[in-house]
Amino acid sequence: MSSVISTPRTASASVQADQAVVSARRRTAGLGIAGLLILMVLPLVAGGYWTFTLGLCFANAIAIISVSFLVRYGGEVSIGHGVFVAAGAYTVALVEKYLGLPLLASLPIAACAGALLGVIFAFPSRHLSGIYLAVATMALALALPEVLLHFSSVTGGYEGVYVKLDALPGLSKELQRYYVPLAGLVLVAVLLHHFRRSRQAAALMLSRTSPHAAESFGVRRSWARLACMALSSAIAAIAGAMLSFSSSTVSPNSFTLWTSIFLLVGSVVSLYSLSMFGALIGGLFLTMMPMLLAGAGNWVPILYGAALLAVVLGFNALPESLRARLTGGQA
Amino acid sequence: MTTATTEFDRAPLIVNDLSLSFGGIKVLQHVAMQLRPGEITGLIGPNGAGKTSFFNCLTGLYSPQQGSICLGAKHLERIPPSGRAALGFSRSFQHVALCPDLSVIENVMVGLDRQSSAGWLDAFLPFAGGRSERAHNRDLALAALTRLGVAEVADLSPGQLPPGVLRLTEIARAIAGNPRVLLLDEPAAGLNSVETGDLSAALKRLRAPDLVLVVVEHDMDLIMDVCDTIHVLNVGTLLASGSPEQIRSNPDVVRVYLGDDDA
Repeated sequence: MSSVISTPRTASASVQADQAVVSARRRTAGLGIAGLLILMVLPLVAGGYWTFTLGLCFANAIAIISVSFLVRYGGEVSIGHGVFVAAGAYTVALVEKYLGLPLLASLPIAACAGALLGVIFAFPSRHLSGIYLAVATMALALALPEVLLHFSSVTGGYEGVYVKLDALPGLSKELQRYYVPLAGLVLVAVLLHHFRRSRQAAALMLSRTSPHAAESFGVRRSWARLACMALSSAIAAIAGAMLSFSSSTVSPNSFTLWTSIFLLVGSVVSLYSLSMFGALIGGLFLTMMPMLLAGAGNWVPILYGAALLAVVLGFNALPESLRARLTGGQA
Repeated sequence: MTTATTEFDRAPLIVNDLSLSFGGIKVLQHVAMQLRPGEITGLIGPNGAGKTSFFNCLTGLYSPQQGSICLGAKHLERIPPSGRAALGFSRSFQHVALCPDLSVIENVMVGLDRQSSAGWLDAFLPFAGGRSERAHNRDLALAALTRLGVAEVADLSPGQLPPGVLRLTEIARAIAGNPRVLLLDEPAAGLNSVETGDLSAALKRLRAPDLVLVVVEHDMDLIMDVCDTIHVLNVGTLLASGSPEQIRSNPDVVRVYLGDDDA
């Protein structure tokens, strides 16, 4: 029934198109590996300031991916992801404080704690969507610092908790604070790249665009919401674990409403990218922009807004193919 | 067990005294019909007759206030849409419901989701089990696309394709999982006459002894060509049932729907 195709592709055109796709993929993979190699040798040439800042930037990039994941697969916006980041950060700090276990042991616990918190939030709010869900997440973010202070005997109150144990013994602390979040970012990006091709990913995406159609093929809307929120929160908690390790401390000041809002800003700046380098752009914006504007005094909010506008408008002006590469392809 | 399975597989879908209303608006009133496997059943009627609402009742998207829907002896009233999908219900939609972010073949593979077992670990890690199931599902989805003659577009995005191909992709998604009840809502909408002829041939090939196949369609040539039994709905009530010849010569159907030219 080839008549249904208005402009049938000839065999040679099809082969050429396939070759073009393959070569584009190879080019992207080559650029990715080259970029990763540069990041791996960077601490050998860059100073301690840059190593520290980029470590935080990698952790922020993971947090940004968690927000983008919810947008891409759930079609929902969160203004409260700082809560799930905090869950991961505090889990790592408290596991070290009370059990004496280092990051690599507490990381899976942190991810599970984040996922559990995500499900606990998602279940009662599973019928909310759009602006209603966003405001509900915001309520979480508003409540978080108060909750942390209320349980100050455990959380350390204003002062917070320190994270001191080594994650990679034998390596200097400075390098650990760089390489551990970098490894986390690569791991999250690779896992999500693989996830994109899974049946669960396809089910989530159909549930996002056509929930009735998805239900008719056995994909329950409430399952989709819970799964999406649990995965997104688990990624956020991994980011939190990396942040606590890179900054050596966790305190309520690090997880205010603004933290959540800036994560959303970072996600928008990265065009909701789930790829490593797309998310890194958001992470760089989030980490570097306040530092660059530090000396501007009262002009900071205005300059920050201008920078945000410039980045968003600039990205949207890029050619479609380049944007697709930055965002890691479709969804 | 084999005999029991065969009997269940060949059970008809029996709708009895089905009534559905939204507020004060009666969408379906006391509709009763038997949809038999091995046949192609047509469901026709003017716009607003309740055809799509009837489909939505069958798949569980709407909950009728009255009446029963049984697959053989199994009552379906309390079974949600996902449960009915697990029983083998599958459908296409009046307005194409494909995900634009998935390729054509990925959309079709969603039709195989209910019979897939790859878990969350397979989703994130390249285990052999998950990979082989995915490759198997891809083959099945490609076979479904091939049956409808659109295998060439498997790796394209729905956004790149004309409406006719999208509709065929939806049908491919609906048939990919070997359904027991297949409901096609206006499959010929958006197709030109050549494509409709091809669709007609494809629908006849879909006929199977254990498949309940129901088609809602406004294209009378297609309906009269492929259907064994036709039910006519009008303003939520069943106006007539019978073979294409009986429907064509039914004066009530001619008056409210077909018109003199078609009769």
